[in-house]
Amino acid sequence: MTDAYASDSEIQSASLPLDALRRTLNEVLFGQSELIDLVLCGVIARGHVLLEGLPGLGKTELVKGLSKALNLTTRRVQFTPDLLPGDITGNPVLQEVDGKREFVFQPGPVFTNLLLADEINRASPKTQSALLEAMQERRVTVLGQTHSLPDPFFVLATQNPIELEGTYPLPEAQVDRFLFKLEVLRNSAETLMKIVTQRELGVEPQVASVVTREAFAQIQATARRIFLPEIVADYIARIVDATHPGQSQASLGVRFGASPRAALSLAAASKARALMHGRPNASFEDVQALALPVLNHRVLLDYTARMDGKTSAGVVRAILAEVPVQNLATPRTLKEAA
Amino acid sequence: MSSGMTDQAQLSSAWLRQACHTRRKVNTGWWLARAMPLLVMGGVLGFIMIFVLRSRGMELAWSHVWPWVASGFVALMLASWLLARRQFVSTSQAMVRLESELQLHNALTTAAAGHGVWPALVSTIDDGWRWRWQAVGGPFVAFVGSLALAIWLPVAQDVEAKGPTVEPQAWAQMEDWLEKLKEEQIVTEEEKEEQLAKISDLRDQPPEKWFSHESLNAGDTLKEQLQREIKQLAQNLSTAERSLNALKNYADQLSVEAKEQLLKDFDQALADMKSSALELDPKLLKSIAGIDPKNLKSLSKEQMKQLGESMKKKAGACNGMCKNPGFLGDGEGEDDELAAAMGQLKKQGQGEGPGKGAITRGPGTAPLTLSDEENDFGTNKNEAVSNTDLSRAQVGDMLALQNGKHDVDKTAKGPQAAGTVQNAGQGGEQVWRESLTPEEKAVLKRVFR
Repeated sequence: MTDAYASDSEIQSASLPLDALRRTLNEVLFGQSELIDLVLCGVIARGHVLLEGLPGLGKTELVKGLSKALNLTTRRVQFTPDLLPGDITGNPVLQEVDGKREFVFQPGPVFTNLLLADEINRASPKTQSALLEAMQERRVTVLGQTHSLPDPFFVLATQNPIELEGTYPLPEAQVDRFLFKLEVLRNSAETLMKIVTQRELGVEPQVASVVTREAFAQIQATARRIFLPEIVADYIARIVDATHPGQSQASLGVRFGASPRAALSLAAASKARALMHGRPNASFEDVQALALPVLNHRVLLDYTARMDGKTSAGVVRAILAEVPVQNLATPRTLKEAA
Repeated sequence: MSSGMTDQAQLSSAWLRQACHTRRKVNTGWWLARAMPLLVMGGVLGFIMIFVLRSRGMELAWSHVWPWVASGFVALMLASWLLARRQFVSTSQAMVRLESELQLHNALTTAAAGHGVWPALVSTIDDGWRWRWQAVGGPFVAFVGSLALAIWLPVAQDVEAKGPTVEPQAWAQMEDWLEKLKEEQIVTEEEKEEQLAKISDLRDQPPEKWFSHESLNAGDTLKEQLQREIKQLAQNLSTAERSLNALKNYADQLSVEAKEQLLKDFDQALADMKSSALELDPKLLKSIAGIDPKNLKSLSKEQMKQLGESMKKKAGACNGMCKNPGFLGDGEGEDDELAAAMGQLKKQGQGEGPGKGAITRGPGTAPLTLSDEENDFGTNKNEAVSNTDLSRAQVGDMLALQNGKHDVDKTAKGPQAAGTVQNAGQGGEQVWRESLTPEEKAVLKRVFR
């Protein structure tokens, strides 16, 4: 009989492969340990991740390294304006089967464990929306036939913030389906020196498979059974509620706040982070650490706020500062210790 | 295994103790926070109460006061506890506070829920709250201090409120007159007592009512009544004495009609005295009534003289009273004289038409008019107001009435489309074609700066 919550032994057994995975990815991508942790957290929570950063920072390399380390099948699609939905999901092809000519479904690149959608914002909205069902439902419907995607299935999409001419910004509905939107920052001089000395142009780093597919599935299952205390759930609810206009001081200038899916995402990611840190429960600290990547792309600012230089990240940080972990008033006779 | 469980049990009880400690601290804080304003108010009320009691002459010492102070203090603390109870925190809430402050990643809550192990105790457990001793101690000091001050502060005791030391003058005057009437044996003792009883009724009122309108009015009425009686009595005695004297000494020289007139006057005076509201002394009435004016020769000279002197004395006594200051008619006639003099003046200088010169020259008082000429407001209906009776003009009297109309532009205008250009401008001028809110204008200015 499986316990409702993850046991200490399960947590302990998950920590070893996770450490190995983390070490391996840190060998692939130098100086981006925080980004690696967040990507790992995302895939453990069974979420899709949107990576945003300038070209050449190692986004694609990270995704490829992850697929190799997890021993998962991976496909890469370079999104272009002329890419059609069928190029993603697959097309029915007329074939002769047993003397009869009939349509046979040819699965597209989406039928993989790890889909790397490079420069996703360059595809047309029609093609982008083809990903919607695949990302949320983990299945594809073509000519009335539904085809399930392999398990696990992740979309790791990238987009760069320059050369925006001819691009199609992702619609809010699609952005909301990404668990995290992570910003890939430039490397420091020390990291660059390490890259220069240990890498060769055009030569891909060798990545060993450190976690089997079954072990990774077990880790994901354990993450789901991490205990989420009621007070932490309450904290998540109050944070997400505070993103809506009028619900907090920090939400001034917000046009649309985060959805309930954001609250679910934050809870799932908090559990995954707790597992990565070997804890049996999610905590306030997990929520605080993940609030920014989860809510950043879900909080939409109005025109005036953007013109005033406000950012979604700034709003989320202000909400974290404003919303107390515990909804507990302090008597006037007591003061907070400095 | 069992050792580990024992450790966990010990850790559990240790953390729960710590959480209870934090809970007590927070709840005490709430209790005190609610008690502080009540204590200040209680101190002020206690100060006022003690001060008032002391000012009314009550001797209060700490030994008398402290049970009441203690009871009041307990009542206030109980009330504040009831008020603060809604905000009290539970042990689990206190535990969350502890794990949050100690960066325990909600390990205590998880362990309390049975899903994890209790973390090891840290050397210094701090719940992150400090007492504000000034905020806590101030109201307590104010409470005790105000009560102590109320007991210690020297206070001037209120003197019992006394009525006026002087009573209305009329009462004493009436008493004097009655005493004198009794001395002269004009009225009976009963009559005197009866009149004095009326004065006593007035005097028996509360002193603060002696000079009330009703009391003064009653006293004056009583005095006036007495005065009329005395004056009437004086006149009657004089008339009787004068008639007797004339009949006795000048009977031979008087005509029959004159004699009859004198007899009639005597009888009338005697009848009036008998019917007087004042009950006259029976001896006086008897001595006067026993005289037969038609047969005065039967009386000896000595008897006549004695009777005449007696009546004269009594009449003199009454007349003397009538001449006292404040007696009825005192100063009577002055107003008439003044009025006569004023009438004379009016005849000379004032009245209708222009005067005859000197200081009363001129056409008389000018009429009170708002302006020389009536204002023309274009309403075709206006009226000037004048008040010729200067002596009756009052502040707030209505001075003018006017019918008017508001100045309304009645020029016909057709409908105007919204959003049209309000100012077409001239060559080179900047023209705003859209109306923007101040915030939008500010943003635009910043963007296109």
